[in-house]
Amino acid sequence: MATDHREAEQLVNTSDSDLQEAEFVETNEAPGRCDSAVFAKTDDLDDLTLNITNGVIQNHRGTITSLIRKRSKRSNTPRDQETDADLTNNSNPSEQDIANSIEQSELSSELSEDEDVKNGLEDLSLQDTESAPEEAPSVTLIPSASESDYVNSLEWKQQKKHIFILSESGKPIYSRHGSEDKLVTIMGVMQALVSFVQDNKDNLRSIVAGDHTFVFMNRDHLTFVGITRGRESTQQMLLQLTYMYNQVISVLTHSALTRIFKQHRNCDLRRPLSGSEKFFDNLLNLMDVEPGLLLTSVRCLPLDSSVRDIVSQTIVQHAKVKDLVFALIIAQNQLVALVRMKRYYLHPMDLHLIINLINASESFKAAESWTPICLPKFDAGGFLQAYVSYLDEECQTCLLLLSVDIEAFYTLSECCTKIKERLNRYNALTAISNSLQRHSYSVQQCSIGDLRHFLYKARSTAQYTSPELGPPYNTPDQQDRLFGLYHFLHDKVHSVSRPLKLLYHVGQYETLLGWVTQGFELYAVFGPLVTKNIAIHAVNKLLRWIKREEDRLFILSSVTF
Amino acid sequence: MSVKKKADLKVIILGDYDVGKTSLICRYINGKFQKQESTVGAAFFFKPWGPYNIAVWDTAGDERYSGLSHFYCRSAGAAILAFDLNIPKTFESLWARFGSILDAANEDCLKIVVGTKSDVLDESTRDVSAEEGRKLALELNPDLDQAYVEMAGAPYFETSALKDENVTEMFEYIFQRCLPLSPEQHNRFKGKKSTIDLLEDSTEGPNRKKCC
Repeated sequence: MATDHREAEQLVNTSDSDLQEAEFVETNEAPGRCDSAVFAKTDDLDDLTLNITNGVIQNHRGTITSLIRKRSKRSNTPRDQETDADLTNNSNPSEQDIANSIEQSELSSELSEDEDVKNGLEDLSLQDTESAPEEAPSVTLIPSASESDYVNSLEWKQQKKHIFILSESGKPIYSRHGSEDKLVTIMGVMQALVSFVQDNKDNLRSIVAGDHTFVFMNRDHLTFVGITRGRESTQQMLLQLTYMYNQVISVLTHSALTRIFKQHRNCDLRRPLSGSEKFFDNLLNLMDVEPGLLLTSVRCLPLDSSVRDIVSQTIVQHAKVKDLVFALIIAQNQLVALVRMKRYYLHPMDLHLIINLINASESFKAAESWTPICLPKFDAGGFLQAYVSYLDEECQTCLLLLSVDIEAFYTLSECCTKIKERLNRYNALTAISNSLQRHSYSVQQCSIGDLRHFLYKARSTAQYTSPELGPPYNTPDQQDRLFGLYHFLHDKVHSVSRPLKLLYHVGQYETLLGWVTQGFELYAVFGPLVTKNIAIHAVNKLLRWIKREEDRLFILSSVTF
Repeated sequence: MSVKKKADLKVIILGDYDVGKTSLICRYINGKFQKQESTVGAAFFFKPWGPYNIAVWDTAGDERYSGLSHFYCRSAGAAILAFDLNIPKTFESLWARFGSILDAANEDCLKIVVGTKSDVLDESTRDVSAEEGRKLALELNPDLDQAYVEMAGAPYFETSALKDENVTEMFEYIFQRCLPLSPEQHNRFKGKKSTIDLLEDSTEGPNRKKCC
């Protein structure tokens, strides 16, 4: 089905030269633009790839240490110094413990056994050639297949996307589908492929086999493998693998990860990562439905700017605490408000990890929590401490306070009580929950005929907005297909070999328009019969509509403590 | 609510992954059993007991969170060391893993050894005997005098959060030891239940008005 569709599509125009550019409102005034950036400026995909090839995270290294040093300079009482020392070392003993406690265990199946490799290769090739995805249901109905049967089943092979993490020595660490225990052989094959190419001082990046794309990424002794038969491009798969890598760092920190592998090259990383599988699973599920990760930008909860001001001012007033770096409120994966320490920015990729933390775990709903989290873009070398507490009974609106001080819990807990009180007094929590109930906005509200759906990203603020998914995208299948179209459009526009400013694409079921300028990225989906002129008119009208609504849809002022 | 209540006693619970620490705490705090997800980091509960306020830290059993242990152990008055009665390894961990962590706690910190999931325990295949548990409990509390142990029993409990067995008893043991009530206080607070039974005839009606 998918392939038919792809072939039926016809590229009508891939460059902007034929279009009368004059018809576009060429403005510097991109809606949602703001001079004082709310987030760290988002990486373009190109930057990301560069980052990937360099293999190391370089920015903001040591931010936490410098923050702590600043703190110890500030206060010279002996007690504080003691806790400072405590804190600087705080991650060390624990990581040391982890590293020490990891037992060296031998790889259960030897790679060199030709038999296994052959089996594994057969597995891989089977996966390439299967081509009848619609026949799956009969297989999926067998429920009680044991784990080892599962990974050999057709159902496993026909999963749309597989993600694997393995160590340099080929040890399984994570698999999205099926238990990684049972995948020792196939992971051995993957590692064999990777090392074979590395032997020639080269890197295996991707393999395309039929419908499937295999993408490989090596970082810090870990190999990330993504296999998809969806419409993600190699670049986009690399971005997804980067998110997975960031999630590993977020749990362990970059310093701990390198130390662990320095001490035991073939250690089993599953032990230090134990309990975090749900974060990986949830992150991958988010990536399948949440365009923000693809666009490396954040969706804000639509809110009157006056309400949003109240919220952020409340945070500023009641959480003015030493060593508090970021304070944010998140409601159903959308950002309500963000307050940051001067000079420090939150990167959208880090914010996605925070959203994932909240989204993946029910345990925050029971009580106030205090947990370490590493934000790789902020500082991959250390942990921030996150105070997490829901503000409402329904557990929809979540307050996060990120500090470098491990002792700050009780202070932050007090801040939370005050913030909650004031937000209630100004009915801000009710406003937030009303906005959540309204489900964003429908595309009809923009009153542009033929426009079915769109994604608009304001580049300077790294925020995006899109209407809710209405018919015909009201079924999971159709939503999946729409998301595939966005992947396709995004990839074409950001193609490394030939980046485009403008793409007008007529498909079998819809017409797509992608438009990238300095200020924004717009991806719009129209009905199939829309002409080029109508589409251009429509996006101009849409930009005006977004401009009118920008106060509500975006966070335009960056608030600091 | 605006002024932070001061906790009179800090209780922490330690133990391996998936022994049922959160279930135990939730059984006591919320009075019900529900399936728990794995705890992230550490969770903080606040509970009044008689005239006192009790702070309870529920911690994650995953090793990767051991960096936090210094923070929540500091000045802890009581530590619940939980293990799964059905998994001997979790009992061994109590010594191996958590003994040293507790150095940061109060010197007179009361350590309670608690076996969990007694409802699924099969006595015939049982690996950790009650005697061993009691022995560890006494070893961990060298300053607990003989007379007290004979009077109140050793700080060892076998509990079931599912069936609500021994959970309240265990917490009462802690509080009686760490925050002894005077006879007068005992009369005032002891009779009062922490939860209100709506079906029960309300006998203390006039009293309730005083509640603020």
